[in-house]
Amino acid sequence: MLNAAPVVVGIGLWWTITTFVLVQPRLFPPPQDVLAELLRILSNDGPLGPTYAHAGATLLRLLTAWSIAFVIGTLLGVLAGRRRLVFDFMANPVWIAMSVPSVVWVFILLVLFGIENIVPVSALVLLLTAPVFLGTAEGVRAISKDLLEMCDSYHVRGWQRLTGFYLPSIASYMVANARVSFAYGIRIVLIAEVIGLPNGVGILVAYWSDTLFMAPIVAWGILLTAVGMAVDLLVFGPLQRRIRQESELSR
Amino acid sequence: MIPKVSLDNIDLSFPDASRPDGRKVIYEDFSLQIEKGSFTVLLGPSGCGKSTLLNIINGLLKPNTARGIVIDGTDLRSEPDLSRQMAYVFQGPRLLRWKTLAENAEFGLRGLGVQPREKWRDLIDKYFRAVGLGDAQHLYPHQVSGGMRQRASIVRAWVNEPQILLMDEPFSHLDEITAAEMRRILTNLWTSEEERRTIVFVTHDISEAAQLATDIIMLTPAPSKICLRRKVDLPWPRRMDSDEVIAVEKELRHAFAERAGIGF
Repeated sequence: MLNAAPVVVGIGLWWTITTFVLVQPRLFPPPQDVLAELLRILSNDGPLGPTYAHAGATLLRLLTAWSIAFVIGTLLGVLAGRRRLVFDFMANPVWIAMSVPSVVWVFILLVLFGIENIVPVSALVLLLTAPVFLGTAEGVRAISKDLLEMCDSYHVRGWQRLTGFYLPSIASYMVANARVSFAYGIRIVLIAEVIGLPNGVGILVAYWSDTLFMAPIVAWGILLTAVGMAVDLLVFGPLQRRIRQESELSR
Repeated sequence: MIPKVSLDNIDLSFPDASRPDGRKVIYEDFSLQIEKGSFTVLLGPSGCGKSTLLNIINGLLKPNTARGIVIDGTDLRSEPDLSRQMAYVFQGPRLLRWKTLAENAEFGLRGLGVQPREKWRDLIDKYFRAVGLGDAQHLYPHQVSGGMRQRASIVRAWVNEPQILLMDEPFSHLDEITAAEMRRILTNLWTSEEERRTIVFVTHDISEAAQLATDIIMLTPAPSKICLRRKVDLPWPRRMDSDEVIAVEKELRHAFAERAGIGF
């Protein structure tokens, strides 16, 4: 109940301001207009064809890029967590990937590849790999030296060491990395689509922005936030709680 | 004597800024032979390099120089896979919390890779039963007591049926009653086999050394030298409070005071 209170107060304020102060529904849509747009989106109706097709394309790009970034970031992170040389070698490229604005990356990739699916996917991979890499390397560095010595003495190497030791050891870091990078991905996938693609939610947002219609833009914003929160609440949250409980039990 | 392990002319030192020469010398021209099938106890004060010796034997630590680190007549440095004949029991159990006790044993089996896979299940059952954990092998480390965890770590080593078992103060963090029980389990396991494994056991507990050893090697504080080498020809099972064990213990205490310069 307490969690819902700020949301209710916020919607009340929003309604008051857009009904009595900023009375321009096209630019400052009241909640009921946004709700109507939400229902329109959910009924698969949009100006550039079925909305589900656009949402599906965006989601597919996000999931593809996020999965690739998660695998690459985790593998490189494990390596860097064990070998200082690899970490030092990777540190500058990682900071560059993280600090160069996503729009700049999209433009660079657009010049390289043209208007293709590879542009938002590779921009996302570049941007999402970096935080996963840093989180994983930090997790591996925190592994107990005693356990590393045990693995060495039992000749635990290669695949067994990765899947049977490193990954379970850093499980809580991995879930945190997945959480952060997924949320980050939702934020930047639209930017990439707005600039460089013929379909996706980004293109719909760009369309409504060009026609100065704010209600659908806010509706998409709410929808994407809801998707992000649902994934966090239903997948990452329970996973992290379970790992934390197991880890506390074994202390 | 047939040496199972022979360390010849080892030099080992570490950087240490607090010393005038900037180095702490652990071993200088140090040599040691360990007899095949013996229960050799390395006894010495803290910091004398007992655990370091186990790491050198296992190949986990390379000395600065050494004429030989020889296992069964072959130098470990030219044949690193010789260390697959060895298994380690550490001071703490060092079990993986996300694996059951049996899976922890399997983790060691998979790593060392000396036992055929089809034997794993039988070996795990056999040795968990031997240490009294037959019914507990499917529990996770946090579900069992400290003593049970340490027994599981002994099984993780023993299932490999290693030729050399390296044990680094394995009972030092247990309470006295549990430690006594663990010593009984260990010696039962060791004496029950027809061809006895070579055990190299590190401790700073003189009573424990007197009760367990067939060979005692006493080390001085670093730079370590062997100040006493003694055989203990007492029958098994041994009781810690038996006159013979107490006599050995007294002798060791005396030798410690006289030769290692540590009084009681």
